[in-house]
Amino acid sequence: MKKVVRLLVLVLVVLLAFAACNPAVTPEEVQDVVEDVVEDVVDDAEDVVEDVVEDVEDVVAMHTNAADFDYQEAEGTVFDLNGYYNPLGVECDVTIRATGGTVNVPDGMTDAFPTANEAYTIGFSVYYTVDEVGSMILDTMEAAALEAGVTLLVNDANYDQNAQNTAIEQWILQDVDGVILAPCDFYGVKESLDALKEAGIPVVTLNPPLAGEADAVTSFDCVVQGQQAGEMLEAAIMDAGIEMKGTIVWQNLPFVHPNAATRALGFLQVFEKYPDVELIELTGISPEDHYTAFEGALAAHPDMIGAWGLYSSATIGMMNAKLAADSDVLLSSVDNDKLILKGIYDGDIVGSACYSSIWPARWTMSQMINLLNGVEIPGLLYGANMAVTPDNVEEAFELYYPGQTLAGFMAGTE
Amino acid sequence: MSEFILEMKNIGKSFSGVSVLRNINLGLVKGEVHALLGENGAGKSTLIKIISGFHPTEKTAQIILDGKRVAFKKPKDALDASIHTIYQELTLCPDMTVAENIVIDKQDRFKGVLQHKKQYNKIARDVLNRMEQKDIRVNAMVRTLSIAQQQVVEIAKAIASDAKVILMDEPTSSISQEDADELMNIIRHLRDQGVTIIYISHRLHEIDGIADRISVLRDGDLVGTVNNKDVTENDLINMMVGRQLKDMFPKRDIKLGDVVLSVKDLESEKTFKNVSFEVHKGEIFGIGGLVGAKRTEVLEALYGLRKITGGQIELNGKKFVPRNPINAMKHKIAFVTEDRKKSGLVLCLSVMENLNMINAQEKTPLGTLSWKKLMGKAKKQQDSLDIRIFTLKQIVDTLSGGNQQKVALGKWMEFKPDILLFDEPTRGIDIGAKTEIYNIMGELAAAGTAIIMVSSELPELISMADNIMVMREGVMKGVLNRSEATQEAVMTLAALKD
Amino acid sequence: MQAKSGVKKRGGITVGQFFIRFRTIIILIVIMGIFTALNDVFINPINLLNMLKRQSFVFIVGFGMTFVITLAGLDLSVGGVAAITGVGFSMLVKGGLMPIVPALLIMLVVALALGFFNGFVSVKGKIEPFLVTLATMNIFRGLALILSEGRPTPIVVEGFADFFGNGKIGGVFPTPVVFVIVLFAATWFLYKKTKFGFYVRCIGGNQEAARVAGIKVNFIKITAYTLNAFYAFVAGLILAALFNSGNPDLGKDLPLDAISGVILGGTAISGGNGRIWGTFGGCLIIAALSSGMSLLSLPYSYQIVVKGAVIILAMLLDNYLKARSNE
Repeated sequence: MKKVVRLLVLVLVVLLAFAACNPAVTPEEVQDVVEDVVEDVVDDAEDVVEDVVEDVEDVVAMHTNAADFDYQEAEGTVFDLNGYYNPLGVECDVTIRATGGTVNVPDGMTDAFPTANEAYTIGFSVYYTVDEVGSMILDTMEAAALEAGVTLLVNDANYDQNAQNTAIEQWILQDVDGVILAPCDFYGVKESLDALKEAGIPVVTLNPPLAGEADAVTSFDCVVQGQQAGEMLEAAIMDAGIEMKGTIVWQNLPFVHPNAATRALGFLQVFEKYPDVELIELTGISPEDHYTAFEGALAAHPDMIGAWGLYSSATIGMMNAKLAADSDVLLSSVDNDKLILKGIYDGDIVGSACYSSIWPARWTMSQMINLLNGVEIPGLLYGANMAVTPDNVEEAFELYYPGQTLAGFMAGTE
Repeated sequence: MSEFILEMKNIGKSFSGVSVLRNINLGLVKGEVHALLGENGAGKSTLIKIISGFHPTEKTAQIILDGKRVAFKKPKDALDASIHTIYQELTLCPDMTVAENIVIDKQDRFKGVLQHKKQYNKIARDVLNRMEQKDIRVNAMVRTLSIAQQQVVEIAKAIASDAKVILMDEPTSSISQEDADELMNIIRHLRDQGVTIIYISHRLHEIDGIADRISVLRDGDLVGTVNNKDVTENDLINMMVGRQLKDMFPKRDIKLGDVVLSVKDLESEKTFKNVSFEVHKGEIFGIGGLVGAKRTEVLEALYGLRKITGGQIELNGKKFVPRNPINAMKHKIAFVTEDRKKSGLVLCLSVMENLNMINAQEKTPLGTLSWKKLMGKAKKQQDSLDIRIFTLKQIVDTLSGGNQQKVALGKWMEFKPDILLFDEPTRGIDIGAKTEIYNIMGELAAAGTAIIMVSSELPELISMADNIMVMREGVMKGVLNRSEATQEAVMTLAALKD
Repeated sequence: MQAKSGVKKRGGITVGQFFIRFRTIIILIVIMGIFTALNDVFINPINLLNMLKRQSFVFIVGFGMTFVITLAGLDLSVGGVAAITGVGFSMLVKGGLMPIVPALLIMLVVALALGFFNGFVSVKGKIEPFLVTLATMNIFRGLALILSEGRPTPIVVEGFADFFGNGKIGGVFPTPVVFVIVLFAATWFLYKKTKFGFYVRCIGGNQEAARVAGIKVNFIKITAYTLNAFYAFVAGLILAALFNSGNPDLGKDLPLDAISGVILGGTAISGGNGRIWGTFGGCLIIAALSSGMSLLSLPYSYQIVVKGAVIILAMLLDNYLKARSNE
């Protein structure tokens, strides 16, 4: 298709050049000739397009990993992200182009990882690499690119949306075939999405943007994560025979984050039914902030029956404060940091809503390859969440950190 | 063995292809005070830097110390050879004690451990005793000492290291007459103990009183070395400037006009009080006194830089209270400060920009500047003061002291002040430039400007001023007119206790 | 006779002086040469324009910072001013609360007030500008967080993003680059051709001499900090337009990047005469480094090492050249 257009342009240029060099030919004559040529070329092009469309229609149903798709709604219905976030106070104006609906996927693939039809070049921009999650995502993506047979250009944006946008502008100049990005700034990423749209380059995001257009989005159902964390805490309180009366302290980020807002929603829903439970929100950024805040909360609320860390830094800070204060308050969490899994094993944390860093990254690459191969893909793809308690913590560790064991980590050998 | 303790042969130096010192041959006799004379830019500083190892010894040069040829790569080499230099800017550590400063470069002796307080206090005390300086306590913080005392400590530091040769670069430039006299005693004392001293100064009368022999440099050449007793001050001046200096102080006879400024019982809290004088149109009014007499402070008060707490000022018969420099400038008062580097010039800017610091303040549309116009003004100022530069774009920092002083003064030329406050008009500039400054002062006075000049140089004060007010420790001690003013009369008022 | 000792050479300049004068552009050419050799997209005109756009706010803040650094000061609070500008503007225009122009004017007044506060406290309170702005850096950032309740506010008003951020004149020329060029010309004029610029240079070179010469030192200093906030205001608008939102996190690296640009441009951190052209070149170095290293997919950790190393190498080169030219 692209070649046809190029040919068209070339012919036009040659003709015009010819006309320019040959004053005997009048512009009208040139125009006639051009019109004839254009007609011919357009006819040809239409034929080619029809052929391609036929080819595409042949493979549309054949998403190589469709075997693992668990459709949330009717097949083909794309989840309304805007309608989901806006009521939570998170402004969202996102368009998802892929028409393949919304699916849940497991931490694993039944069928083989897709192979690229051509030697595509794909740009991948990751928001941060200086922690375990970021570096695992990057490693997974590089391995998946190798497996699929594509070239991966990498950008390490370090939470700087400007750096991410810089890389994407450069990839457009380098004519990449597709872009995968994990946004730094959920609104600021719009500039990149707009530019990619203008350049006609497909894009799949890992974590949802809050503005702009993408072909497909990979995310987690964070409401479920909050719910799982709430339910684990609820069960632990009941198991301990504690009355559902008193305060539950939970710690959040100091700014609104789409994942935080949704997790909070799920968690708070669990305790809505207990009128005697007062939920107190504290905020911080680093584990130290959360430590200090929770240290104070432990002293200020002798009636505390439970606590929740909305993300890893919160939980880790809270756990340390709890241990330092020699408190046995029940604590639940989200995220699968090794320290949190160890905390669950040790009984310092009742459980955590965990999710893999590896599989969603592989799923995202699978989406990209399938998209470039001309396959219809789901517009929204949810990675799996797992409620991790002392019962399944060891298996969870091995799932999230392949080749490593919790015992090994605790012995300090890993 | 030669007769000299330190002999220099064929010393030369050039910077970027410009030769600043050529073929210097100089010998120092053990136990002499050898004065080095020359105008600014004559090459004295360069020569000192070569002797002190600051500039590496060049291959063609020979330095022979005690009969042995030596070569210095860095200042430490010279120190190791017992050649010490006392620079104008003192190099003591202000927050260490006198004793610590004296032994600081003798760490070897204590094997790097400076804990032997008793031991080094003793060393320091011995050295100070040898110099008959019993007033300085060895465990006093250097910060608490006067400049003159700090200088003594610097010298003590050199003596403690058994210095054979001590170079002193204008040691009296920032101390009072009394302290300078005391310094001369110390120098004589050291000389008698066999220490050789190279003494650099602008003050001819000082050199006359202390030097055994004198070497004169001019434009990078050694003009000659003479015995002090064989020459007069005038001979030396001739050697330095290379021309007959007919009149060092070209005082012009100008008929004084009306009273421009009248000061009555002026007082500034804790600084000065009871200062009263009158200045006329075309007058050069001198203010004399020792360091600490608070003369500069009077000028500052007149210029609105110091709070006035009593008395009154009348300007052309009208009451005037200077609130700040802008206010003083509105009343046509200009101020050329004592320390041009500290408060007179913007060293990193060009001559043109410095010359236009005042001109630029004229009202312009939207606050824009026409450098073309300003360039013209700067050119005029440059010409009227004969500032010798290659281009007005030259950075002021690269100029000689005399030219810098002319720029500091020159920026006021287009302003045409009624009253010029001129603090130490010729400090640190060479004799040729001094005379030029005096000429400019004469021209200004002839044009009707009243000049109030603070000066520490008695000959300058006596020769240039029409009337002289003498101050001591913040109090006016009297006003002398031209016929009464002699060095003795001024010194009596300035120094004698009541 | 006297002039001889002061000046090294009549007419022309020595090789060492040539390198000192043009060292910013020499470093720039070397860096750009390296990146061009490693990846041919680098020298693509569109990439170069994008590079200017991407760091446009560093240039703009660098221009203002040149005045402040000439005064031997520093302003670490510019990132906070930019953040307050972005956040405040986004909140004012949110949901059609206010049209763009009045919102811009209100935020301009706010930004200038913040700059005035820096200057006023530093001058009247006799506190080092570094310390004042170290404090206001946190205060302004905190205010931006409080104002926004920590959340980025999307900016959806028509025309804003195009005018300040993503628009392209003639389809190629990014609007932030136009801002850079216009402000550069204005800044150069202000610095070189107006009383204000001249006074700033006089005060920076010798505050006492300026005071004695009747220059209103305090007034000029306060004005310089206020002016600097104007540049931060423009930078904040460009950042908000590029990021499509008023984010309280905007411009965290802004002060240090801008200071680096000014220093690489040859304005001494100790104040005195500065160079506006130099600042332009220094910021170009910063921009070229960001763009080039991004193109080479260098991990962030390596990027900051390189950026730091370039600054130290430039300063070493400077000192070496100065020492050589004094020989």
